[in-house]
Amino acid sequence: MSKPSDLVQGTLDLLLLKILALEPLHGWAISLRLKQVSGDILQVSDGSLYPALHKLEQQGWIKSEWKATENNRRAKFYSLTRLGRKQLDNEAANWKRLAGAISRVVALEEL
Amino acid sequence: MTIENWLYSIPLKLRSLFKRKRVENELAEELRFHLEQRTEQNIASGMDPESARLEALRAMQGLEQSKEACRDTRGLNLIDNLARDLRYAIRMLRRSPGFTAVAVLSLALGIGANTAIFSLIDTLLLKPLPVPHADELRTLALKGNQPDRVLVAVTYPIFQALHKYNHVFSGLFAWSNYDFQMRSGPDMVHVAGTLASGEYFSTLGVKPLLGHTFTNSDDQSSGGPNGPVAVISYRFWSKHFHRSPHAIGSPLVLDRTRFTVIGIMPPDFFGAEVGVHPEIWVPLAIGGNLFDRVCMASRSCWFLIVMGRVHPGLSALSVNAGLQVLTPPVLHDALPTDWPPPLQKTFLERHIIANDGAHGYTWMRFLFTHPLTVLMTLVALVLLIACANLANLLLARASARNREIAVRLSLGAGRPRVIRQLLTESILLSLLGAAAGLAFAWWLTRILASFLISQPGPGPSFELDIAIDWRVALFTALVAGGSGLLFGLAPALRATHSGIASLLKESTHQLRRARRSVFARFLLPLQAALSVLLVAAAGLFGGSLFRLLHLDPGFHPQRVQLISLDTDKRPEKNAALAALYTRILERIQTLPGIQSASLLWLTPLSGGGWDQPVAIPGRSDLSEDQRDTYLNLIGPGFFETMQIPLLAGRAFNSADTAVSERVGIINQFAAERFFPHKNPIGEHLILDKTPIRIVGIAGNIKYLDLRDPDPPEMYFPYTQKSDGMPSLTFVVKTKPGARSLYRDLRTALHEIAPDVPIGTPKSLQQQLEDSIARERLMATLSLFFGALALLLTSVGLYGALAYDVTRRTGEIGISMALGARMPDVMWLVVRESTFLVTGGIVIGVAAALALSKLVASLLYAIEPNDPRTLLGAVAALLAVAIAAASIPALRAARLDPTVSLRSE
Repeated sequence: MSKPSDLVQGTLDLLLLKILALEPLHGWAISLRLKQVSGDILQVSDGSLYPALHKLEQQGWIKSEWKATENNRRAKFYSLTRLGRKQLDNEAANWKRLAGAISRVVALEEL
Repeated sequence: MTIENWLYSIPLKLRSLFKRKRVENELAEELRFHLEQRTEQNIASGMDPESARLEALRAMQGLEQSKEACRDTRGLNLIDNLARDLRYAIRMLRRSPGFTAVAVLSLALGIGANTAIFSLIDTLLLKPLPVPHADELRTLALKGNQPDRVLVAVTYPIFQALHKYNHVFSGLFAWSNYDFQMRSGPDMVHVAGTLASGEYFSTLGVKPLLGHTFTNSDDQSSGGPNGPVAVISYRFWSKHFHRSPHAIGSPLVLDRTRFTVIGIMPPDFFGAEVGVHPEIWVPLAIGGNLFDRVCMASRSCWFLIVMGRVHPGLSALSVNAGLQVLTPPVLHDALPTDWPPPLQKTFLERHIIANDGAHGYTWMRFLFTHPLTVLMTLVALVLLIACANLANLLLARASARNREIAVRLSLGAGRPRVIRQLLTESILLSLLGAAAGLAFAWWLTRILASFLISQPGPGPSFELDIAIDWRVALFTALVAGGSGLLFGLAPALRATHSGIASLLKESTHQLRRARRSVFARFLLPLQAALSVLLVAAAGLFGGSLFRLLHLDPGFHPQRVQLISLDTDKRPEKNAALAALYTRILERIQTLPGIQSASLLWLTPLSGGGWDQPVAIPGRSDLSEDQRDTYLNLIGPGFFETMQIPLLAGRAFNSADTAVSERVGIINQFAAERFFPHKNPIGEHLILDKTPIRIVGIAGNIKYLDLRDPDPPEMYFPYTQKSDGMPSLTFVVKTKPGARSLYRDLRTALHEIAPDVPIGTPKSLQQQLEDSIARERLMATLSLFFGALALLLTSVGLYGALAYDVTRRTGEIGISMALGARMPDVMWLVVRESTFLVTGGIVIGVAAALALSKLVASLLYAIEPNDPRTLLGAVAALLAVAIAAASIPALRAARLDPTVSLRSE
């Protein structure tokens, strides 16, 4: 249930880490940001988002904190840990390698 | 994950474990916030509030499901759910105390019986000796060409030769049990001891608690550098030396010989023989020569057990190869040259073999391995019945819980989750059963052990310390868990297999043909078949015992006491010793309360015997085996005391003395075999070249074993035993209602012979019962298990039918309204079960016929496929089944149709 069917497996973690690397956000804001930055191409359902966040938190990549929102409502804000930042670097590098490789394969001219 | 990851995650896990409420609230709040935001967004995009909220929930793919997925990430669900399932299971079990009590009780009996039998098997067969690297130990034996001729005991010359030629074992030792005489206060008492060869302690690899143990240099017939030395047990040290370190170097007088204590063994050390707890160890060469010089020198006195330690990693193949090389010189050196040539040839054809020695040695293994295996099978079957029973009851409960399960499934619990919950209940039940079963097992093992140790055998008295060790605990846990799965899994699978919709639709009082599931229909015949097997086993073993108990032993054991003396260390020998016995007997005969008294050497059914072929002038046609006669020494008044009929001639009297003509009394069987055509009185038999005139004929008695046919027997007066006068036993018949005479007897004995150790008095009746301890064990337990099987099966049948009647109230009401009469209704209820039970009985009878051969060797005077026993088993099961079925059937028949139809 926690696996987004519409995303390459493992990429959701990368996206979440990347978004949280910019600034601490709560879940709702993360879902808005995801939609915003990727256009409508990468859709993450509300049902998959929270288990994914909780998993990252359990693994120690991100941590959470209850804070007031701009509308003065209490919300759970997630932010990257030191480990999370390292993990992001690793995963981003991996992604670039993978994406590059796939682009090269796709770009091959058919004979 | 690195350590740093754990720094984040462990506090989180602890928090969700111990601050559950807070964590749950936060989770709820976080998701609620999201839903609210999404709802607002939806409203802003033009939806009405209600559909905006629903749309938000849909996007979340179910609020509870999302929460559960978040909880899953904590990795604590297992613990969490287990705790929750346990709490729930306890609540469910408490809500139906009747069911819980039946379940726990039947499991306790089933699991407890398994644990008890297993702990005996563990003690006798599985537990390794408490010494380092017990797996390297081997027990040596001499194997003959015939498959069953294995001699475990060897002679001292064989051991000496083994020791001399040994190149296979890193250490080799022999031992024999021996009861020392020791002064304790005014009495001479017996102390259990072991005569052990020099490498006994070093090969076993045990260190003393204090002092040191003896070695080869002490094991010299003339005594070692320190003279005769002894090592004592912790128990002996505590009792006689009050754990003083000064015990080392103290003198210890055993059998009138002065030994020096050189070492004290740790509390858990008992040597290499399971069940025997020696208090004193002395070197074999010293002890043997002091106490039984004749046996030590003899090449046909088989009294030593030999064990060796192989080098670690040495394969069985190379051990055997080494033994093959070892065998010829050893047998050659130890050949009993006084044996007749054909026997010498058989002797030289033997092989020395090495058996497993890791579990020590005990002769009880030869006697009890097969019975215990049979019992283990029987108790496993009992447990299987109990499991089938519970599966049946759980199935019934599961259908009653259909709606509860449907609701849980529809509220988002996955099927595995519900199955896990149901299994938690059944495993909790079996664990409760196991806990109660351990208590039952504790009690049962004590009874079992008392049966085992009462069996007379070649060894000294036994102490079986049956403890619940880790093997027994593990076994019980596995059995309990396995049973829980066995009886819980099928009902749990079945309860959850239909879809939510059909579960919810199905009403408990639905009007439809009530059919049991395939599984339920398989359970009843299984129980019936197993019950037939168990009851048949009970019938066979019970029948054997019944026949043995009603066998005429040829004597009357009522009110007869046996009191043994040990006069082997008396200064008097032969005639002087006989005179001492006569004096004691005369003194005993004057005691009040005594009807008659006599004495004899070998008491019947004690396990000991003296047999030898006699020669009969003019009967060269009889083979040696046919002339083999069981001999005994008796005193005057023997036949009267034992109430053995004297059929002809006279009994022994005071005129039969060492100097008068040698006389004997034969039994009826010997008279018929040896003198078929003439009166034996006045004829002669020749024993050891001495002619013996027959003066009387007595009735046959069971001598060695109740199960054996009557052998030829011959009695001599103890007063005529010319050499090697053994220790005798007094047999005393008291007057009816007389109080115990032991105290008076003891006083009388003390007056005449103060230094003679007196054995524990035993009634002849007890001796008779002990001699069939194995049959009593098998009969008692199999009857108990058979009854248990019947009880469990009837409870199962009753439960299933009673549930059926409740479920089919509507159907029954309609048939009654349509004119069905009482017998029709009853048939409606029991029809299916009748077929199932009958099928089970057929299978059970077939299985009994196929399997009973396996117990044939444990039966007495009853065929393994005895038709009457099998018929009896079937009848017993039928009777119980009819009784169990009649209650629900009658209840169904008495239903008021109007009431039952209204119940829809």
